[in-house]
Amino acid sequence: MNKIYKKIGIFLLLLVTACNLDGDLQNPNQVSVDGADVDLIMNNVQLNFADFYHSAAGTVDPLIRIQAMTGGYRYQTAFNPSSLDDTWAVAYTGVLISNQIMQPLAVEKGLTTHVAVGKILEAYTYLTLVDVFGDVPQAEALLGATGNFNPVATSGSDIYAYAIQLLTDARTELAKTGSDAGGALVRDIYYGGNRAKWNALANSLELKAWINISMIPARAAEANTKIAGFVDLATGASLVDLVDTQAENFTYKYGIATVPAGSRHPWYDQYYGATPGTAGGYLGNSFMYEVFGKWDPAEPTTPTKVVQDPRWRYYFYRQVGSVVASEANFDPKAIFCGAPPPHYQAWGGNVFCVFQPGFFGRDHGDGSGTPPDGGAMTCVGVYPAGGRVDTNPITTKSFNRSARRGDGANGAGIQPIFMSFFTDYTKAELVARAGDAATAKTLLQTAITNSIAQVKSFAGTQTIPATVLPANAPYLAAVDALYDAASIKMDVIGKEYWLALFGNGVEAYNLYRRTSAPRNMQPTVQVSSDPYYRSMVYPAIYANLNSSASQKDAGATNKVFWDNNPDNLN
Amino acid sequence: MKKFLLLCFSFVFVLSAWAQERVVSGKVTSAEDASSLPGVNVVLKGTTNGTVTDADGNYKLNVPAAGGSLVFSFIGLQTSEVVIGDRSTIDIGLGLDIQQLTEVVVTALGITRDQKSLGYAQTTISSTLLANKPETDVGRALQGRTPGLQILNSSGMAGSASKISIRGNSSITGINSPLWVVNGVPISTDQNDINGQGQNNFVDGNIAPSRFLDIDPNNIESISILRGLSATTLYGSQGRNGVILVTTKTGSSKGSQKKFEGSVTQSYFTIKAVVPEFQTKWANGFDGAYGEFYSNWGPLFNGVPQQQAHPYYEHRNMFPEFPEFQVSGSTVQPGQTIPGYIPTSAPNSVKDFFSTGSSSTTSVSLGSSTEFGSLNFSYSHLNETGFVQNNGVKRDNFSLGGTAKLTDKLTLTNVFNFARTDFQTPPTAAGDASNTFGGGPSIFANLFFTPTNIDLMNWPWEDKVTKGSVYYRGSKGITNPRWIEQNARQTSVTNRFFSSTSLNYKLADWVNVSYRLGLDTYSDFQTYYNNKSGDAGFSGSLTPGALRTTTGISTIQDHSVLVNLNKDLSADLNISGVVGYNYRQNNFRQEGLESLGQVVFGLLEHRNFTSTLPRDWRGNQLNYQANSAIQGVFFDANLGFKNMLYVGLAARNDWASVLEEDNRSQFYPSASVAFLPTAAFPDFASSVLDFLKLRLAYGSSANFGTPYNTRPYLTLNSQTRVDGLGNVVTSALPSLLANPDLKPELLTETEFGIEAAMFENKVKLNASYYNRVAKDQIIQRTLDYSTGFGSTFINAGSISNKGIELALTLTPIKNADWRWDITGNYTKNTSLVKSLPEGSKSILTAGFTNLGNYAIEGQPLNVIQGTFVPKAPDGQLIVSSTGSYEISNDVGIIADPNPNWFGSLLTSLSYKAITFGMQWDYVSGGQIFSYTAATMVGRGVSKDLEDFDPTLPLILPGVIEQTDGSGNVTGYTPNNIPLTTAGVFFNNTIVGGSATDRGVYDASRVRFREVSLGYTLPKAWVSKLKLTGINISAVGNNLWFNAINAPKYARADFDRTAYGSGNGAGFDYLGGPSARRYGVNVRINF
Repeated sequence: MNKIYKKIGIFLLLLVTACNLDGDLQNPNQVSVDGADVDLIMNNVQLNFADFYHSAAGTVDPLIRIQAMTGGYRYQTAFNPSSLDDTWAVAYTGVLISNQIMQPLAVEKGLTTHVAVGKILEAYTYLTLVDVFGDVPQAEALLGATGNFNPVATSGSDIYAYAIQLLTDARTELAKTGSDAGGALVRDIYYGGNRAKWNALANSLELKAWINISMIPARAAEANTKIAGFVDLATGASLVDLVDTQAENFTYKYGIATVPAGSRHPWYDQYYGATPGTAGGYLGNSFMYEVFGKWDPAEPTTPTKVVQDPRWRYYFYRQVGSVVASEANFDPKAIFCGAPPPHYQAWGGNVFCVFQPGFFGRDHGDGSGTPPDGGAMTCVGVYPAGGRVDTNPITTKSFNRSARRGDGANGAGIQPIFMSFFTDYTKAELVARAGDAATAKTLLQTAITNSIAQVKSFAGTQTIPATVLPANAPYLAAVDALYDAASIKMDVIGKEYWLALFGNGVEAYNLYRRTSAPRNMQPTVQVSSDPYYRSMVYPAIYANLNSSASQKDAGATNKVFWDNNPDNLN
Repeated sequence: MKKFLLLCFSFVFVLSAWAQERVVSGKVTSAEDASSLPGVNVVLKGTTNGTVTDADGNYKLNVPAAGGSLVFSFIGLQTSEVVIGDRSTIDIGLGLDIQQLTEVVVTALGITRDQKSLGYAQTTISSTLLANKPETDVGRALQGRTPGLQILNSSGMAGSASKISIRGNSSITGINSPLWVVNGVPISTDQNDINGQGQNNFVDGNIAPSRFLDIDPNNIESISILRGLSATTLYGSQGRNGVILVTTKTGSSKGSQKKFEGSVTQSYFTIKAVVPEFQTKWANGFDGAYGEFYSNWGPLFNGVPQQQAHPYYEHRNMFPEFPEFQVSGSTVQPGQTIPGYIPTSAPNSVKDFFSTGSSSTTSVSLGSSTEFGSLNFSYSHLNETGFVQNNGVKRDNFSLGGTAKLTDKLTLTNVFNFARTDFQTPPTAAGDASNTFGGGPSIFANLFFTPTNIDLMNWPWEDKVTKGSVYYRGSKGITNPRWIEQNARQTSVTNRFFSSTSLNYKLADWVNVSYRLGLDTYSDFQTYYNNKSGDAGFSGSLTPGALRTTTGISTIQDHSVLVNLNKDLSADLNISGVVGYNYRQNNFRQEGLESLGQVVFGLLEHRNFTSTLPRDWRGNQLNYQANSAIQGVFFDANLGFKNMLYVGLAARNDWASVLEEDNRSQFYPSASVAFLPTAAFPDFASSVLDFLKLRLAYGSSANFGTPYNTRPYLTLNSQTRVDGLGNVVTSALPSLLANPDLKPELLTETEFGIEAAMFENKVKLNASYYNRVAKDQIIQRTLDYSTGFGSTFINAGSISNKGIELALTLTPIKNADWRWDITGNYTKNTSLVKSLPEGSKSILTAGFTNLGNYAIEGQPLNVIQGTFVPKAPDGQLIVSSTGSYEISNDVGIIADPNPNWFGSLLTSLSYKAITFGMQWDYVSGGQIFSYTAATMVGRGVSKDLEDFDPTLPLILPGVIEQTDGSGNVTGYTPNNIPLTTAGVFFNNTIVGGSATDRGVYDASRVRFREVSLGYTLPKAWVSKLKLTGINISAVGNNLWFNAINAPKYARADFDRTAYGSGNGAGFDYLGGPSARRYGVNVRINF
């Protein structure tokens, strides 16, 4: 009997001592915080910033007709709050929190490039969030670890001020030299670790911020003084280093890998499917129509007689040579056009549903179902998505070649976050605003020339036969004529800037709210009383999970803080 | 034993020698059903002279020449005393002893107790109610059998997951599934779906079975269901959601009655899908015009050519055998006289997509007992094919169990189970139109809106060259569901071993010590694949072909040391109890790979793909581990006084490895009292009231949460992307915010109950009221990302669940030939979110942020929030200037998925050897967001719409706001803006993007759950075959249901849940139809 007791006792002892309850606390699947690597976190910041910017631009693209608004017939149904969650999530948990944990590690190691780049990207993220959504959490943001689960939004103007301060601090870091500068930023997909270029970006961003602020009458004087420190308003010359050369372009460069997913330009993935004929998404008809060159209202139906934009063969890739199925031999069910609604006649924009030769996108607010049109719709081209250039003569109607994965640059496109020609157009805008129409015209010509040249330069090994490529001179001449004829010069500059902003809806959206240009935008297909979205509705995760937040009224304009334009945008 | 028998025999012999006067003989039968009763004690009153009845109930006893009485007694039956007089034959029928009601039931840790002594609710379901069931999933077989249990399912597909909840959901975001314990050992019932990772990820998962599918229903001896916390305290935190105790035949301690017995059963069931009915009046199109849409709002079938090409026109050259595909439209070829395609109705497309499935089970069980111990063996084989092709379950269960008396005091009991389950299905995850939310293929999301002119089953579905999908829209958005059925698959092959080993040492008559080892380990090999060349309807990552393979290995080790006591302190006072220690360790590890880019069509090996990564295309890591351990000490003491008052006290303290050291310990006590007035005051019992028990219990339990939530870490991704510079390695904070202060949550419950038997047991009532409160919940709180994090685990909030559970059994007829039982079960559970963490307005419990289940203070748990149509003060819906309904800016509560109450009515009528049974279920109230119903109506295919003419305009019921110049609302006028039929039904339902409250339906439903007819062959015939019994039964399951206030022909089954075994409720996202099953079952005992 005793023996058995002993045995049981020993057994119990073994059992109790065997139970180590401390072994399961550290997640065995992941890296411990001691293993934090500042470079790897920086990679995350950079990558997520590109994703954030693409997401933000994609969100507002339909508002400025670059991509078609197809989610619904009305603004309210077209923009579902939960569809904005990703933009919000990637901004805060992709870019901002990663930057927050990277900053002290970089400071500790004296890595000033890391510190500066982190601050610039943080500033850029906040500026963009304000431009898209208006007031968003900033002062109370990213404090989840201290228990603030319901951050209150900071006003847009305060966030702008915060961002400008970040840019100032970043420049201070970038000004350090020698051993004070610390180790290099080795993997920098934006600028290859070049501190001067980052400095140029910081300047350009601050200028961009002041231009928006200058729209507020009460702050116009202050802002204009600041602006005058960046640009000579008499000549349009840069007074500090701005993003004003092609080498300073702030772009994210996509790769060509199928796996991991997301390596290619997202537009490329969308339009160049694994199987031919599976393109998805719709470009805005009115944007394509303008880029294709619809300048002469006297000749509305003969595309060869008007001036084509030299960029359209880089922006777009037509899969079919004609929108008539029998002419291009495509599935006749792909395209279904009803009669244009009566208010389209009044609008006078001359585009509805499709237009020749072979252009097929969608009109603003066409929320109808999707027919089997993947083989017929017009796809994105080589700029900026890394697709195909359109080499087909516009007279060849029988052309039918579906976009497919591997075509063109195989998705190695760019995210045109801040191009040097943006600065060129902005200078034209500033100088025109200052009242010097003649200098502004010259600056506009420079801007257009630079835009065309740069867009063309992205074609890489793809070439467009000279016989089909529209020349620059007629285009520039046509713009000149319009400019001279225009009573509001800004309307022409704005429209030209809009045409150059393919792939960057954020700047186009800002432009539209700042200047009302381009005017006479395509109305929604169905007449609706919904006001134009002067800022995006809040994402569902913010409006529904944060007790300090409430959703915007879809029936109100909801302007961002610097938007001082009349309410009549459509 | 032998010695004992010898002694008895010699004693009887001596007695007989002493007074051999005369012999009385007779037969003892049951007064209830006239069956013979073996083993009844027959004693001459006042002496030790006695005997027991033989197997046929006969006895023979020597008695003195004159006088005397015989006392017949048997446990559970009324003791009867009969004066012998001068009779030589005394036959007697013994009735049930209601006073004693000594039903022995299994309670926590396998401890057997008298039912009457329990201070809490407990239900036992015997094997006869579980065998012969057409459901192969034992979880679903419990449906309606006891109050307090709600069972939902993902669909009627073979092997699809089930969701069981007992007494509502107590946890906002934690696990709410009950613990399954087989032969005393907890087993894993996780779903482990590799296409979702985590139970809330329903957007593409929830296809894999719940792992209680591995249990063989044929081998079940009984199931005990412990609902309240006072009943489950000993199981610790795992028991907080109720415990389902399964005793298998091979694990039963009863052993065989005889030296050898066995049985063979064979069943065969037919499985049919419950399919919606389609209208046959008009064709594909929109606003009355023909066109190839998902929706079906086109022209009437009136023979008019549509100036459009045939739906398969683009495939005309590949299929010359279908000359009709050549039909082009006149607009296609100007000047051509071809009038175009004439749509014709193909009414059986969807109906014929479904085939008839079958389920066949063969099982054998053998048992033997000797004085050394007993040994039981069972084997069963299930082969089930579902109602769509490539869906099925094959299962083999082996079980060997036995008890060996190693010495007089030492007993070894062992049960080994091996289960091999082979499951496969085409993907069926949640979707709202074509394919799943997660971007994967889904047969059902692509099927139900099939336009009425698309001849799905007669037109080709496969490209002759590429073997890709061929369908009516060329290649935009819809992959042919028949292609998905053949070319996309999710499979799971599980090899599972679970065993229970216990060594029991009897220290004294009243105390024994036992050690029990439970081991549950399985490997789950899962694959998810689709061949290349599906249409781009689903993700572009998947269309070039995808193969994901994972192997998950789950191991639960469970050690218990128990000291069992049972002592009569005096004649009136008995104490019994247990003191124990338990250690349980859970380990799960999964290894997996995903390959994309299939090279050769059809070959599903990683080598046949161009790229392979250790994570899926959505970024979920396929390789991970999760380990946790918990140890506890506990005691349970029960004091019984004079068989009329029972007091139970129990407590457990747990230490869990998933929390930091300061927070990992939790103590939780429970107490219960059972009082039997009918035993305490014999006068209280009357001819009306036979038995009465009042019970009161308090219980508590804890929850420790899941591992790895308390310490921060960094994620690492070594191949985030290949950008312009090359491969990118990133490291970042996870979206989960670590909380080192996380504490266990405490659940408390009070329960009050009445059990009564009346009119000689013809009326039995068992009623319970409970009030359960879960405080300081461990909540995975979804955060606004501007906090820097997506979610965190916190302790906050309080949920209460109050409810009533009633079971009323009536036996109106009971005699030798007839017996009629009626049982009604009623469950009402009211949940209330009493408080939430400070500052949070609502917590998402499942679904999407703008359409999902929420916990909101002052509301029942899981109310659904979504957008809604604003209403005028008089309740009328507000129509906008476009003639369509307005949509709210913000989300609001649009539905409450919790039923008002639900119940079941079971009846069983037997005449001699024939038994007829039925079960009806009813659910009152509750609401469901049903995409199946909305799709059928909104996309214009349901037969419910046949009264409409889609070419005529309609006006939505509602009012239009009138405003003054400054935009203030001044009044309302009735809506007078006409819309097209499609504009009403499509644009103003959820399929066309209207407010989400348009998709909410009342979920009240009635269901003819089961009907059965059984016949037991007469013993006389059977015994000629040297058998002991043959039973034949015919069973039908889920033969009819009606969701009373939903579109009739959509046939949406609101027992289904899109969340599988997850926490959400009230969503149906085209997960697949439910199944009707019927067939026969033959059982032979020998």
